[in-house]
Amino acid sequence: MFKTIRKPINSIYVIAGMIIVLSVLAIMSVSTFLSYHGEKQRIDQEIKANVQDTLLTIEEHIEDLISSYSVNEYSKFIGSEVKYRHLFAMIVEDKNMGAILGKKVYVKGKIRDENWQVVDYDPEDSLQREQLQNAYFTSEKELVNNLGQSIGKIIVVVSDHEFHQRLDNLIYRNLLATFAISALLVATLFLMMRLHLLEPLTNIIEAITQRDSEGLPLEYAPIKGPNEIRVLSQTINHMIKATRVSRQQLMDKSDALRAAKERFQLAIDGTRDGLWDWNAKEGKIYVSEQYEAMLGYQSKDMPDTLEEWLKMIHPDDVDKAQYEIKRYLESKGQGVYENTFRMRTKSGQWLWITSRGKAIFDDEGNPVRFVGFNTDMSKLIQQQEELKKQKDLHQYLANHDTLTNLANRSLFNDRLMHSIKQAQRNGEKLAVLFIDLDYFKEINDSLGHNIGDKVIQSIAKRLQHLIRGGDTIARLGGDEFTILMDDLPDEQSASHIADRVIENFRQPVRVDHHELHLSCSIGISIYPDNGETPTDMLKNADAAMYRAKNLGRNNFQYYSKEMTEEAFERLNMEANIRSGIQNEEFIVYYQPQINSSTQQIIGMEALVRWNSPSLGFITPGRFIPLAIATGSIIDLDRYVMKKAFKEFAAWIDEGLDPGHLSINLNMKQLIREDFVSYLSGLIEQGGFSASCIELEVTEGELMDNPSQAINVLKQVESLGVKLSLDDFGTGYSSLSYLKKLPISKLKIDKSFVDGLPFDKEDEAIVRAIIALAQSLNLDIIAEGAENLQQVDFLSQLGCSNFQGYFFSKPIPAEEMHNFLIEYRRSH
Amino acid sequence: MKKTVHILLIFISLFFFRGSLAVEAEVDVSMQQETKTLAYLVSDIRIPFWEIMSRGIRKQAEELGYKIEIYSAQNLAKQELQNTIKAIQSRVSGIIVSPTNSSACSTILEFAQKAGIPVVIADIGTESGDYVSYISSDNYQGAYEIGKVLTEKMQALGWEKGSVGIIAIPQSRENGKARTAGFIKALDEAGIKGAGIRQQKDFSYGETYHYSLELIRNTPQLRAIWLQGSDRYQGAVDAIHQAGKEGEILLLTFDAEPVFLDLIPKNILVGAAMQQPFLMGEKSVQALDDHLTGKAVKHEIKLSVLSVSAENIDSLLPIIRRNVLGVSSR
Repeated sequence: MFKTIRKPINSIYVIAGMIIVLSVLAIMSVSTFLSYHGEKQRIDQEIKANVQDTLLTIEEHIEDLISSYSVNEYSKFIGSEVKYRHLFAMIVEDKNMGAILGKKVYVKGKIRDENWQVVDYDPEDSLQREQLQNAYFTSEKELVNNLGQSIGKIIVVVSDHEFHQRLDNLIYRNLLATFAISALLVATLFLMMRLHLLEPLTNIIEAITQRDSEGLPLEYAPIKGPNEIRVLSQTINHMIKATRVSRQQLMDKSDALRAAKERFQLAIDGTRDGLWDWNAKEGKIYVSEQYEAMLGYQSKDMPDTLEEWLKMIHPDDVDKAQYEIKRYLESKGQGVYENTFRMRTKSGQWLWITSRGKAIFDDEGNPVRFVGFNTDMSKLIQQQEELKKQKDLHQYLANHDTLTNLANRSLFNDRLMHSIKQAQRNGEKLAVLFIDLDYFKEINDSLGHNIGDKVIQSIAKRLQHLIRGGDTIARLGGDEFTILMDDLPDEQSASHIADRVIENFRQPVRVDHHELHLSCSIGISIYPDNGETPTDMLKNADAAMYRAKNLGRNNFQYYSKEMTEEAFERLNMEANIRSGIQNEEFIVYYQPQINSSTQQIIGMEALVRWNSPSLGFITPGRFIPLAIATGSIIDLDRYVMKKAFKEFAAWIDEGLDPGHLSINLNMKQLIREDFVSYLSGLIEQGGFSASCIELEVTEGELMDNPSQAINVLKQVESLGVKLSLDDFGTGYSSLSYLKKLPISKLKIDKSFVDGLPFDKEDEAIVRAIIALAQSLNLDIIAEGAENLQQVDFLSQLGCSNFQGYFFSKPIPAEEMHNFLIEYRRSH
Repeated sequence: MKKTVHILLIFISLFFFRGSLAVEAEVDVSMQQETKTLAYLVSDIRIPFWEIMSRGIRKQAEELGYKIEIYSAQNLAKQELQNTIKAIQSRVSGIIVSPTNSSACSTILEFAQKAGIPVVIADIGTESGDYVSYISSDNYQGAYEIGKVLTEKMQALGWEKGSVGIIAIPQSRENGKARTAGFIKALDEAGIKGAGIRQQKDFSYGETYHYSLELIRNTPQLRAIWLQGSDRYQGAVDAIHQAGKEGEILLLTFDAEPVFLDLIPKNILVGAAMQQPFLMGEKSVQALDDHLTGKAVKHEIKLSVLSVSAENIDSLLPIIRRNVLGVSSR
């Protein structure tokens, strides 16, 4: 209804400016007023004093001029005096001149006209006379001559013209000065006030005017200016800082609260746990939606009293559940309440529930509120059970052979260890039987692994039926089985089982449509006679098994000390082979190859011999298999190649026409990645044609992996090197592969030649081999030709190339050199 | 000092012009009633220059039918004023004034003007006031011409490198300034240096002698001395003699003395610039008469100054005698 009339609020600058201007104007007005009055009086006094000074100054001069009758001179003089002393008039009354003129006095004077110009004074001029009478100030002086007689008078008149003029000047100057000083003062005061007061204040205002959405200044007030303003700034800053801190704390708390709430809600939502909140005083239970959903209830259906809840708990668990609740409440909330029980869902299912919570108590220790979560553990419990099953399965698999379900090496070792300890405690004996199937590899190779696996499974079942109830049978891998016999009454008891096993093997194994006849070799080690650790027992049983193998297979052998010595010898020899290569203990022997029809040397085969300084002369049959088994055959083959190539090259260079050089190489050598480049490097070093070299590979090795062999042999053939198949007929060559192999020659094994010409089987085989070679357009050579009959016979069959004692045994290089020379000379 | 000078002047005048003793007021009474009267207010009739001029006035007044009353103030201001008042009161038709000084002339002119009496100023001049005509000598011209006489003489003697000293009347006077300027011009034209100037204060013999000797001693190349007045020439002559420079230093003057008619031919004086006071007196009366008869009168009339040397003295002698010395009129 009533409008508030708000006065316009002026800026502090305007107010300060007004204060300064008004103050300065007031002070300067008073000052000017006082100064004006003081100056006015001073001017008045000064004018009058000047008049007196003038009279005194000019008195004597005028007296002289009157005395000397210099009328014109004093007339000029008073004229100049009037002019320069700013007088209104100066009049001389000259008695001397008056006497000449017959008058009392002669009046001569100068006076100002209306233009303030100096003109002659005319005593007859009434206006001049009136002016003189009204003059501001008049002073006169009596003039006397040297004798003291009066000679006239001088009158000095001052008008108020000068007075007013000087006052006007004074006012003008004062006003000007006042204005200038006022302006300067105002400017200085305003500047200083602005610099020291207004600007710091303005800076503070500008700083705190920039406010955030909540009205709190964004920046602190600058601390500048005089002390009071600095204190003001500091106080404002403290307030801002305190407010910010308070606000931040409030925000932090609010954030924390919101975060806690969110966290709480997320936890509830995320865990899918059911929240329950039991108000003890009201006896009501509040539950979350998740809890209701967990038990399959709607909000209105859910029981909300403790009694009804207890009814939902499994009868077997309700006592325990009540007990846990009671125990926690009696403990006055120490620790956390935790209880696991089964609860019935609305649909009648039982859920495993783990309930956790905390209670609040009043001062008297009575529960006020009891809040917690119920977690559905059913799935977890189910998962745990499944996990246990899986674990058991893993454990089983870890200890059993998946193919046969027999114990594996690990379980066997554990049981063996356990049995050894038991036997040790009880002073008992036990036996380990190491069973290895004879020629099982051939079954795998010829019939495939599926058949092989089924054979193993069948054998395992047989063995399980053969052993005693407490014995353990295990499959260590491949075709190796072990049997642990506890509480052995005597050593012979082991042989009974071994006999039964060997006997059982006489029954053919039927797999799919195959009927397979198998045998096995068994090694037996006895505790404590043959070892006191599982490792020794197994190792020794293995050694005994090897002995059984060596003794023709299909038998069993007890372990003996000698077996260990043989094993040691094998190890020792292996080390000697390596050092022998390094020490060049291996010697290359050469056995000539002769064409019987031409009687010409067609070549020679390089053969390695070992004359060890420590072990003596060692046959290839002893060290070659070992070198193959340990891998040192690679270095040994290369050693032989290098040496033979060098000597062979020398014979070519010598013009001995050695034919070709044949070298038997192991497949391990051939499949080495660098072999082809190594071979070509050697040929290049030798400086002879690659076709002079013939590599022999055994049929058995070749057939282990025919496809890989074909690939490598093709690369070798591409160099120009010839390939020969050694020991042909002893293996199980597939004719289809034979056709694919890049070989140029077949070598009839010595075992077939030995029986010729009398053994009809050998003859038949040799005939077949020769026919095969001819049909495949391959060369053929027979090794092991020891007599003329064999040579003739084979020649008749179509084989004219021979290697054997009939022509020459293997001989060292030097002898071979001589042989080449001598043979050519004689043929 | 002033008094001494006055006495000395009076003595010299009496010596040379015994026949023309000054009278305070010589009035031709016989003509007074029939003819108009003119008054000649002169500072001091005892001085030859004014006495010669008064003769010229008298001669011309007689010729034009005026009575002439001569009032000599004896060089006293009071007397001059009293003469003025007396002349005015006697109702003269016109006044010729040769005042004691130009300041006093102003007062005379003021009183005359109030009385309605026309005034012609003969020489000296006035500081202010109204007058009919001012008749004076052409000091500049005279000094220039006598300077030319000197320079020609020095050139004839081969003394062009010599310098010339000046003993001057007070340079506050207009005639003094004009004389110095005219003479310096002549020297400049001939390329002859000045050797300094000394101003007379008491116009005494000793002063002239002293100044002359000082110039001679201070200026080794001094070849001439020029005096701007004629009456103390003897001081300079004696100084040259005293310095032993006779024949080596030339002497010239402005104005003339009767004795110069002998000294110039003898080359004791090289030359003198001579005013013509007799002629000036005649011209003054003529101007006043012209005014009274209603004729136009020049407000200022300058009479030439004669430059007299040994070379022209003979030819100028009649003029010198009449207009300068007023001898012939006697």
